[in-house]
Amino acid sequence: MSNSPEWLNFRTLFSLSNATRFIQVAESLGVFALLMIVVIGASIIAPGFFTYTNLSNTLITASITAVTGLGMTFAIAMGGFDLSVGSVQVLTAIVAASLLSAVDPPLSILGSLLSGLALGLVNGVLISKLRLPAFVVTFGMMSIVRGVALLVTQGQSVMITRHSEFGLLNNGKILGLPVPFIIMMIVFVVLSVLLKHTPFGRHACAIGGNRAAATVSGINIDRTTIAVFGLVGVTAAISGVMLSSQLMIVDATLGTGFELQAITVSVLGGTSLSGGHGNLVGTVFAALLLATIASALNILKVISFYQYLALGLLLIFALAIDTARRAFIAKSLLSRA
Amino acid sequence: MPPILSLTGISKQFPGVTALDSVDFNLLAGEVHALMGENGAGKSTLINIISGLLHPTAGKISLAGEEVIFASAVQAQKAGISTITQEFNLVPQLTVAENIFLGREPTVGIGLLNWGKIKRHASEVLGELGLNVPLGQRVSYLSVGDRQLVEIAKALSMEFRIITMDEPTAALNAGEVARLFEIIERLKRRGIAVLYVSHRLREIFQIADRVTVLRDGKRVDTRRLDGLTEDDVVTMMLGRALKKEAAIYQEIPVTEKAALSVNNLTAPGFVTDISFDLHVGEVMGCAGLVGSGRYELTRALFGLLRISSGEVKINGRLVPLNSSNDAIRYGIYMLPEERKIEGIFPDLTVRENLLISAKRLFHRLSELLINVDEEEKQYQGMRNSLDIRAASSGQKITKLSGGNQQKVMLGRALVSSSRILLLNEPTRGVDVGTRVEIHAAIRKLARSGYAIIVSSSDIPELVSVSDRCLVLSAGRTKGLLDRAQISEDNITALAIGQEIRSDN
Amino acid sequence: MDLSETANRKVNGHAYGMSALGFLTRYYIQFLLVISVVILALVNPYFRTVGNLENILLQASFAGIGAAGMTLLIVSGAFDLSVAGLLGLCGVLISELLPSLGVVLTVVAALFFGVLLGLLNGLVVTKLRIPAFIATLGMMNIYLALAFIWTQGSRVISVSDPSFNVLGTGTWFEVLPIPFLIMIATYLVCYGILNRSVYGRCLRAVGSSEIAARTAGLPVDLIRILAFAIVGGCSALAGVFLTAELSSASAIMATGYELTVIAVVVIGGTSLKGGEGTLFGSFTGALFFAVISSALNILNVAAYWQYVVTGIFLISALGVQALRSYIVVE
Repeated sequence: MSNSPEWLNFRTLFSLSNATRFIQVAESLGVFALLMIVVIGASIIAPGFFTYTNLSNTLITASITAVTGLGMTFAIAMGGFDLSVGSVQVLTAIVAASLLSAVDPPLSILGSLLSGLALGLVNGVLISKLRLPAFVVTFGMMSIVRGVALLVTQGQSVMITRHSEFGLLNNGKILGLPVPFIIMMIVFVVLSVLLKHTPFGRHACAIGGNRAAATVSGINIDRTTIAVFGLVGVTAAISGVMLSSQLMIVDATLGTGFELQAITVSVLGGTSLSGGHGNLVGTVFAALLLATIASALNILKVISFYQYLALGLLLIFALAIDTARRAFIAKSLLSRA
Repeated sequence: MPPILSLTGISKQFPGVTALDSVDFNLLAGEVHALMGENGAGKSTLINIISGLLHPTAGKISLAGEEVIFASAVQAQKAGISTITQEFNLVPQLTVAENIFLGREPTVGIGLLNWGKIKRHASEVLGELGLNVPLGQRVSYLSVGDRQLVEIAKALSMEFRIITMDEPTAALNAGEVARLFEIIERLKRRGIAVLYVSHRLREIFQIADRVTVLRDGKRVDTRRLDGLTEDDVVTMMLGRALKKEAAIYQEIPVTEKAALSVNNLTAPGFVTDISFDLHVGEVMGCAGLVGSGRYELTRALFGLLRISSGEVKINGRLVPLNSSNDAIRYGIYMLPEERKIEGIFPDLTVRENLLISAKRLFHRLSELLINVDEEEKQYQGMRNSLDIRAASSGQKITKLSGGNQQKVMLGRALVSSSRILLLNEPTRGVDVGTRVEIHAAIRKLARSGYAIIVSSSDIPELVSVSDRCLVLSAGRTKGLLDRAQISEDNITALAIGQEIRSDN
Repeated sequence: MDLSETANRKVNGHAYGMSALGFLTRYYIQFLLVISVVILALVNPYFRTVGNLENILLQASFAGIGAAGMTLLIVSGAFDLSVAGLLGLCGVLISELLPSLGVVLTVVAALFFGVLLGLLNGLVVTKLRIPAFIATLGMMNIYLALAFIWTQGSRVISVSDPSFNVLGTGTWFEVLPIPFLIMIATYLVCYGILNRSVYGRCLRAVGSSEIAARTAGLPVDLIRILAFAIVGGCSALAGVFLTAELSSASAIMATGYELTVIAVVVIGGTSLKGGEGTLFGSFTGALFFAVISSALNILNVAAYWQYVVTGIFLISALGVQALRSYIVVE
C-alpha cells in the first residue's frame, strides 16, 4: 500500500464531486484566463514585450511579489494578515546588503532570513498572546520597522560593493529560467506542501474557517498563529534578499505599497478574506498578471502612476468579486438545505 | 451491566434559580436514552454538565465506574463524550476527511499527512454509517443533514462511547431523519450510548429505548419505552393528564380590514405557506417548538428573512418587506428573541437602549438633536408601566439584571411608532409578578389600537395573553385556535404534532 | 449587587469609588500629556518658549482635526486608511483652484470634495461589502495615484496667496494658531454629534452591535456612509491648513497621516471595537503627539525616530486598552 501523498492526492482529487472540483478549478482558472488574455494583449499592443529579456524581467518582478504573496495567502487562510511585509522586506534587504560588506553571501542571506523570521514572530506573539487585533498590530509594526530601517541607514543608501556575485541571484539563469523564478517555485512547492499536506497547514485553515471548531478540536491556536506570522516574515525576507540582489543598492524608502501588492495578489488569486482556505496557485498567477500589466504599461511609456491607480482599482475589483462569490455560495447553500 | 455514565445527586444552582435538583441519571452502553421535559425543565443544563461546559454545584459523575470531573468541554471530549449541537464543530472550508481528523491527523515521515491512513480510516468510519459522501468534498457544499452525519462520523472515529444529540432532527427533512435513525441503530450495535434530547414524541418512540423526564429541575421518572404511550410521557412532562378538549372551529366574523393580512407566506428553509389575519385590538399568540419556524415567521414579517412567495398586506395594502427599514416604514416592529446577541447595545445606556428606535433617523429635521427632557419623560413612563429596576436612565444597560434588560427591550418595542408589534418571548427572564403586569399591559395596548403577535415558547403565557393562537410545527400551520379552544393542553398537543379531536 | 449603591457611585462622579488602576487606565493620556510637558519644560529651556508652544499647537491641529472625524468612524466600528491620499488630493485641488476662485470658495470646494471622497469610501465599504481597512487601503492607492497623475509626479506646487497662507500662519492673541482654534471648534462640533445628536447615538449603536442595530431597524449603511463622509471632510479641512502652512501641495504631502491619526485616536482611549469613544482623549492625544514630536526635534533626535515612536505608542496603547477591559470585566 503506497503512502505517497502525491498519488493519493490525485485519487482524492478525482473522487471530488463535480461541483466542488469545478469551483476549485474555476477559482484558479479565472485568474489564469485573465493572465493569458493580458499576456496576449500585451504581446500585441506592446512591441518588445514578448522578448526573452523582457519576459525574464517580468518573471523576476512577479517572483519577488509572489513570494511574499504566497506567505500572505497562508496568513489570510488563517484569518489574519500582515500589513508590515513592506517594511520587513526593506529592512531585510538592508540587512542583507549591509552584511555583505562583512561576510559571504550565504551568511548574509541567512542573517536576513533570520531577521525576517524574528520580526514575524514578534507580530505573531503580539497578536496571539496579548490578543491584539492583527490589523492594528501589523499596522504599528509597519511603522516601527520602517523607522528602524531609516535609523539604521540614516537615510543613506547601502550599496553592495563586495561580493558582486550576489547579483547572480537576480541575473543568473537555470535552464533558461531566471533564478528568482526558480526561488519562487521552490517557495511555492514548500508552502503548498505545508498548507495542504501537513497538520500545521490544515490547522491554520481550520482556525480561519471556524475558530471555535479549531479550539474544540484541541488545536493550539496561539502556537499556530505565531508560526504562521513567522512564516510570513521569512517570505518577506526572501523577497527582501531578492530585491537587494536586483537593485544592488538599497535604501529605506523602498518597498512602500508592497503590502498592498501582496494582499492584492492573494485576493485576486482566489483566496477569500474570510479565511479557511488559500489558493496558492492563484496567487502565483495573479502576481504574473500584475507584473505583466506593469511591464506592458512600462513599454507603452504609460506613466507609472497609472499603474498605481490600476493596482488600487484591481484590489477593489478583486475584493468585490470575493464578496459576490461568498454571497452566491451562501445563497445556493440556503436553497439546498 | 454497569452503566457507562452515571450521574448521582447532580444539582446546579444559578443565582436565584435552581436549574437541577439532585438528579440521578444513568446511561447504558448501546442504548438510546431520550431526555424530555418542557422548556426550563433542566434538559440543557444537564447536557451541558455532561459535556463539560458547566460544573455541577453538587453531585458526582462517574464514567464506566470511575468518578470524573470535567474541567472543560475539551476534557469531556477526551474522556469519550461527544456533543452534537445545532452549530456544528466542522470547518466548512476543509474536506470531510480533514474534518474527521481535525486536531489528530496521522503523519508520516517528516510530518506530512498520511493520506493513506486518513483515507482508509475515514472510509471505514463512513462505511459503518452507510454514508455515501465523497471524502474529498468540502463540508461547505454538504447539506445540513450530511454535515450532521460527518460530525457523527468524527465522533465515531474518535472512539466516543457516548454521543449526545440535542434536537438533531430540527433541521432535517423526512429522508434525512430516516437515515439518521438508521445510523443511530448502527451506533447502538457498536455499543455506543446515545443521549437523545428532543421534543418530538413520535421520534422518541421510534428510536429510543428508555426515556427520562425532567420537570422543574427534578427527575420525574425513567422508564422503558415499550409499554408506554405518548399520553403517558406527556403526563410525566406536565405532571397531569393532558385534557384534549373537543374542538369546534369557529370562524371569527371579519368586520373590518385586517391590520395585517398574511397569505401563503413562504420563507424557504423555515416556514411554508402560512396564512392568517390580524386585527387591531387583537393579541394573537404564536406557539411552536424548536424548529417550528415560530421565530423565523416574525423575522420574515420584519423584513429580516427572505420571503420567496406569498403576500403581506397592511391595512389592505400590499407591502414589500425586504428590510427592517421597510417593515418599520409600514408600521411593524419586532422584539427579537435573543436579546444578548441581537437585542441590546452593550455600550449604551438604559435610556438609549430604550429609545434607539423611537424616531426614524433623519425623518424630521427638527429631531436631529436629542431632547433630553422629552426622552427622560418617555423613559419614566416606560419605567413605571414595566417596573424597570435601574439606578438611573444613564446607567449602562449591562449593569441591569436579565429580567430588567428584557423589560427595556420590551419598552423599546412599545415606544416605537409602529402599530403592529411582533413580540418574541416578551417576558423571558422576568419574575412572575411583573410578568402578569406585562401581560396586562400587552392586552391594554392591543385594545388601545395596536395589533400584536406574541410568539413564545412559554405556553401558559400564550394562554393568558392571546385572543387567538397560531400553532406551528415543522414550518407549517398546525392549527389556529380561537379563544374558546385556547388551553395549555390544546396548544401543547398541536405543537408536538398531535391532532386535536374535533367534534363536528 | 445593590443597585442603589451603584447609583451613589455614579452620581458622585466617575472617579469616586473607582479603583486607582481603573482611573489610571481611563485618563492615562491626560496624565502622560501633563507629565511630559512638565518634564520637558523643566529640562529644556527652548521648550518653554512661546514660539515652541505655538508650534506645538499648530502641529497638533493637523492630526487632531483628522482624528476628530476618525474617532467618530472608529466608534461606528470602521477605519479609514485612505486619509493620507485623500488629504493630498484635496491639497492638490486647492492649489489648482486658488488662483481662480479665491480663498473662501476654494476652501468650500476643498471641503466639499473631501466629503465626496469620503462618501465614495463609504459606498465602497457598505455596498460592495468589503472590510473597511482593506477597502480604504485600496482607495488610498487610488487617491495617491490620481494626485500623482494630476501633478505629473510628486511635483510640489507652490501655493502663495497671502490671504490663504494666513490660515496656516496666522494667530490670535499671538499664541493660538488659527488651525488650533478651528480644531477646538471641530472637536466641539464632533462632540455634539457624538453625544448630543440622534445620529451620534446611532453611530455608537452600530459600533456596539451591528446585528442589534439591524434588528432594531437602524439604517446601518447610511449611518456608516455618513461617518466616512465626516472623515473625508475633516481630512480636507486638515488639508486646507496644511497646504496653507506649507505654502505648497503635493501628492505625498501627508504620508503617514493615517498612521498618526489612528494612533492619536487609539492612544486617546477610544476602543477599536467601537461603541464608545472619547473625543477629549483624541484631542489630548493629538497634543501629546505634537509634544513628543517637538521634544524629539529639540533634543536633536533624528526624524526617523518618529516612525518608531508612533508605532510603539500605537501598540502600547492597544495593550493598555486590553488591560482596561480586563479590569472592567473583573
